[in-house]
Amino acid sequence: MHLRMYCRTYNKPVVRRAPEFSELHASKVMTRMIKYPRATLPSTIMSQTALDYSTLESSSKWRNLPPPPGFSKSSSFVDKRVPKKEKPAVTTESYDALKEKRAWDVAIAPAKSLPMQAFMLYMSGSGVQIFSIGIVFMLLFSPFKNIAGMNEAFAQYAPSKSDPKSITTLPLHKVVYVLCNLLTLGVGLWKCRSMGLLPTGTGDWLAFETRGPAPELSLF
Amino acid sequence: MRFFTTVVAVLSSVSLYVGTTWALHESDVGVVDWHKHMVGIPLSGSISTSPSFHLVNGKNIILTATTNNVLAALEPEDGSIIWRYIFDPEDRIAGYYKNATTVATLSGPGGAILRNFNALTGELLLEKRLHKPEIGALSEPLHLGKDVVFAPHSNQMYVLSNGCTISCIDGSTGEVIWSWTSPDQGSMVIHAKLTLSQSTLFATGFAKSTASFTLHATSLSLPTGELNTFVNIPSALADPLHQFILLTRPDLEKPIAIWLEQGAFRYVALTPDLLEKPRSVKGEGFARLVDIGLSEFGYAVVLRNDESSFVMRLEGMVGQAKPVWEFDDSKASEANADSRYAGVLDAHGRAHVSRVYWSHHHEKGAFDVFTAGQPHGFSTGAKTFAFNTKDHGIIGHVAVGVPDSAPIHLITTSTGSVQLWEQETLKWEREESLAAVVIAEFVEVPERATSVAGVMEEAQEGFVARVIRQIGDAQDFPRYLVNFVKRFATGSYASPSSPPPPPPTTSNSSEPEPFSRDTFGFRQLIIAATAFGKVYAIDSSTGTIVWSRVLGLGWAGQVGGRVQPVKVFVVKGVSEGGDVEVVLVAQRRASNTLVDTVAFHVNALTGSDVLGKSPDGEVLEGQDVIEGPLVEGYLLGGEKKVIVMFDEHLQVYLYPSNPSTIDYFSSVAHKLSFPLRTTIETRKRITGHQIQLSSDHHKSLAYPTWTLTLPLGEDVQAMIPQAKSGVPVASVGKVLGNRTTLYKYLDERLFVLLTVVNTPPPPPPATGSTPEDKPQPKPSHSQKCGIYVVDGAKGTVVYHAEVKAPGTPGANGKGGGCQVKAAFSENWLVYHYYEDEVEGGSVGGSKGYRMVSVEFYEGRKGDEKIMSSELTAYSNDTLNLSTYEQAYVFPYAITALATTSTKFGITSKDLIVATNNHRVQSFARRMLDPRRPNRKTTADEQEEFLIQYDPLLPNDPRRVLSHNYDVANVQKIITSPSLLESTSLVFAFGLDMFLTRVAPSNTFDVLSENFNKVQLVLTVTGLAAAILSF
Repeated sequence: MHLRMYCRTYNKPVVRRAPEFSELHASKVMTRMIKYPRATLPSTIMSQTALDYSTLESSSKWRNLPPPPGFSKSSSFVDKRVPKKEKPAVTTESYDALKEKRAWDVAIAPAKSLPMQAFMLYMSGSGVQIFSIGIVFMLLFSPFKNIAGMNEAFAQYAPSKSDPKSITTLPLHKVVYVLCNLLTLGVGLWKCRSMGLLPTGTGDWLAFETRGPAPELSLF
Repeated sequence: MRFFTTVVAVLSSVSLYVGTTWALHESDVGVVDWHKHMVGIPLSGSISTSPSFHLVNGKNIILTATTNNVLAALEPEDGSIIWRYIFDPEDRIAGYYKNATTVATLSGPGGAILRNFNALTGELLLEKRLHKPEIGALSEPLHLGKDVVFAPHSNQMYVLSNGCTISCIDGSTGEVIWSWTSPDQGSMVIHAKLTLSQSTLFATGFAKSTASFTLHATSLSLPTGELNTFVNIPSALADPLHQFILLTRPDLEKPIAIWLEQGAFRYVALTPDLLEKPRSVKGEGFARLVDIGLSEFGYAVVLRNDESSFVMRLEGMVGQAKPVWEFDDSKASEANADSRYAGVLDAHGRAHVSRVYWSHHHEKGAFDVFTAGQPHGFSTGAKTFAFNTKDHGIIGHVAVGVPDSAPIHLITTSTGSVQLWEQETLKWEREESLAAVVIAEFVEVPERATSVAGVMEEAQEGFVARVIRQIGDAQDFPRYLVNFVKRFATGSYASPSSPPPPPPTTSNSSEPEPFSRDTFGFRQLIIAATAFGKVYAIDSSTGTIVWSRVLGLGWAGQVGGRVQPVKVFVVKGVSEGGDVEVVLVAQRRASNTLVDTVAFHVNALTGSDVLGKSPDGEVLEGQDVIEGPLVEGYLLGGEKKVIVMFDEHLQVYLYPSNPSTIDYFSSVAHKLSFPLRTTIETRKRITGHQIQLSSDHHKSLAYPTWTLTLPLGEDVQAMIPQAKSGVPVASVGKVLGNRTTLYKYLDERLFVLLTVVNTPPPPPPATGSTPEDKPQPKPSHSQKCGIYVVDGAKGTVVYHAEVKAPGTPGANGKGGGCQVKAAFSENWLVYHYYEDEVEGGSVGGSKGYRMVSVEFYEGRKGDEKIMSSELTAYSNDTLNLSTYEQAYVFPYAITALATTSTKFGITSKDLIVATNNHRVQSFARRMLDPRRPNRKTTADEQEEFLIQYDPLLPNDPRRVLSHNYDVANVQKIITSPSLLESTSLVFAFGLDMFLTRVAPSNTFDVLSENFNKVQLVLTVTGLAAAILSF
């Protein structure tokens, strides 16, 4: 696997230009990118370092980059094209299968942690205390956090031919992921309800009720 | 640096330990509360009840019986109460009779009960029922037909009771040694006075004959009580109470009866055989004989027809009475008012007779004391004293005492003030009319700043003016800042449990600063109007009288009369800015039977007349509102405060009556209704009325709209309005443990109606077969008491309960009839009654006092909502409510009850109760919750803090608000919110006055007393310093 940097903004230009710079060192790519006229590099580029499984694929734009110095495979620089010619098909499929499997793992991960969370809830009791409140808050907030970061979470498992950031990538996994997160949320809400924190009764809204003046007055 | 932090740590830990001391509740005594012991206004109608000085073992005390049915001994030095004995209401005191060391009383119907007290300590030495109260003959005046004389050398006393029975009673055991009852009880003879001679007891009385009374004398043998003889002395007394006196002298054997017959003296000496003939004395023109309490020493005062007076003394040898001293200038004149006479025997056995009168000429009181001596005695001559008639009315009664050479006068005024004058100086005074307060009302007072700065001016000023003023005010900012820092550092905030701040001192003596509230609003004014024509403003934080005014009689001042206060309304409160104004609506009953309705409109802070008719310091004259009696008067709140009054014809009178109030009244009149009690063909009814506005110059009229006809024999006892007093309803419902809501049934028009049900006894069976020995059900047990809760606009009966009335009235000394006490607040009704034996009832026949708590909620179950507070009275939903009620065994008989009230109504309402054992106690609302389950509480119920039902209300002595004070005969309890939501002021009045604060849900809105401000400041500064230095 190659550790690479990528940036959504620079994907396309880099892909287009890649063959010309195939022999260049990665750092030189970086310099070219900086020099590229349309580019204004955001400062966050360095922080968005991620493990990019897509580099495993034959079609990857990074495929032809030389391995970094000292990397064992880089020694067979001459004959690298011969084995790579037939291997990519096999590796792509297996990679995809692997990624899919990993994506399923991620999708049902919230559901897997539920028994543990349920046990924690049981242990924390029904009183309103710092522990139970902490756990309940975790249960209530993590689903939203997870769903908000869903595309990023699944981007690395995206099949080779699709856009890793798109919502339509891995749709089934994402649906299951959302459902599992909702399950967590549901458990959190159930806990809230059992602790009496949900404003479900009329009593919770009593303070907002108002009454007008009486139509008739008694002087007495 | 390490040293520094160590110091900080040590300092803060030290302050932590020093600071945590618990504030004791005892420290609040006398700080948060005050009480005033009262004895009531002396009964000055007769010599046997009116105040007198009494020398006991060399100590002078003042004894008096009072209109509040109290026998009291006062300290002549400072006016404090040495002791007092409170008689039951049905046990009216008829008179007290002094001995050297003891005081005997006769009380009850016909003098049924004899008591004997130690004169110095008030210890009850003897209590003896002489006859059944039922056979007691009623007499008018009350003291007639009762007398007690003490045997001079033994412990026995001779008691005349019921006008016909004379008993010899052992003073220590109460054993009746002999008793004699006049054989002709049916005749018109009433015995009035007992007199002892060597071996004979004389009873003198009056026999009614045509047009006048005849003197009647009876002679009894002293050791055995056998009747020697009795005789009708030929005489014709027109007014036996004022024209007859019996004079004796310890050194003379024969008592002399003296009376006036057609303006001339006649007398007769009483001998055991009663054979002496009445004789006449030359001279005529005498009007009255005044008993000055010295008849046993041979002195009396005689008034001539022209009111001129002289002291008469029984002369031994001749056996007749002679004038010894003529009072100067005692003739009725324009310069002087009527004179009062009093006499006393000093420690040396010398008699002193005083004449006290009001001098129109000097505008002062005047006294003239005659001291008996050889040959005739001497007098001090007329001396004046600065009696303030404008504050205290007229001199009603005078008692004189001579503790040393100088005479002292105890003066009882017509407004109920008791004053002791030592020569010309006022030594002390007691405002005893505060024991006769009819109505009292809390009045909130403004802050100091707002009362000084004109609020109206600020409201009217323009923008520029305001900016200029505020820039001008800004120069005070540095001082404010310094004060703020000082206050922050030292933590000297006003504390609710600190002693009340001293009343604002007069900075410049010319203009006294107006009365203002304290930080927490505990200082309010209690406007109290008494039955004796005086209105007081009492500082609620200390109990001192801020001002008082005598209510004037208006035109009736010429013929005499009295002012009976009916209601007090606050017509201008603090929130409206400016001065607080109250209106006292009163009925003036002139002596010529004319009744008028008068409104007295005063500034509550100063007592000055808002109408400007009567200047300060003078008698307060009111404005005649209705020429006739008042049927009812109400305060119409809202945007304008208008007093709406109705006369006998139900015509509407407004006060104040001006175009704006008339407009306002016209705009709301169609919404108004009020209930009145009426009687139509012997059936008692409650009739609701609405108002028909008149289109022409006639007065608007109220017309009946609904009636609530009570069943035959049911009589209205009281109508109790809801406790409103402007306190809002904080929550319209009650949330249950399962999160549903019981919506409170809130109807501002509801009122409580208490009735007496006199079911006629069942008719005797027509057939004669009923065996006579079969016990008939007692007719008294058919009496019941009804409790209704009625809507005032339509007459809908929301709640009705009937409880048994206690047994036959007066059977056990406790009055029968319905003594139900009730209070109604929001949706909570609580009432108290006595549960007598129940025949076949389900209560198990246990007697005792019960407290019933009732709550009304909308709908039949939780979450049902009918919006009752804005529901029209004519809606079908008005009876869609559920009632929760529970009865509790209550430990005491009570005389008054009320619920607490707070500013926003958030704090729970406690029940304040004045018990018969002279205490004021609070009961938690939680204990009186009618939803307390009859089984173990469920989790939901526990969440509501409901406790399992227990029939007995916990009687927690820590909830006794009155501590160990004796707060006797409380007639009414009123509560008022303070500025602290947690705290409510409670004022109980009756015989005694008592004010305290209660916090039913604890003082959640103030820092506790043991909060350590210094520690906090030290810790914060220490930490800040530590952070900064690192």
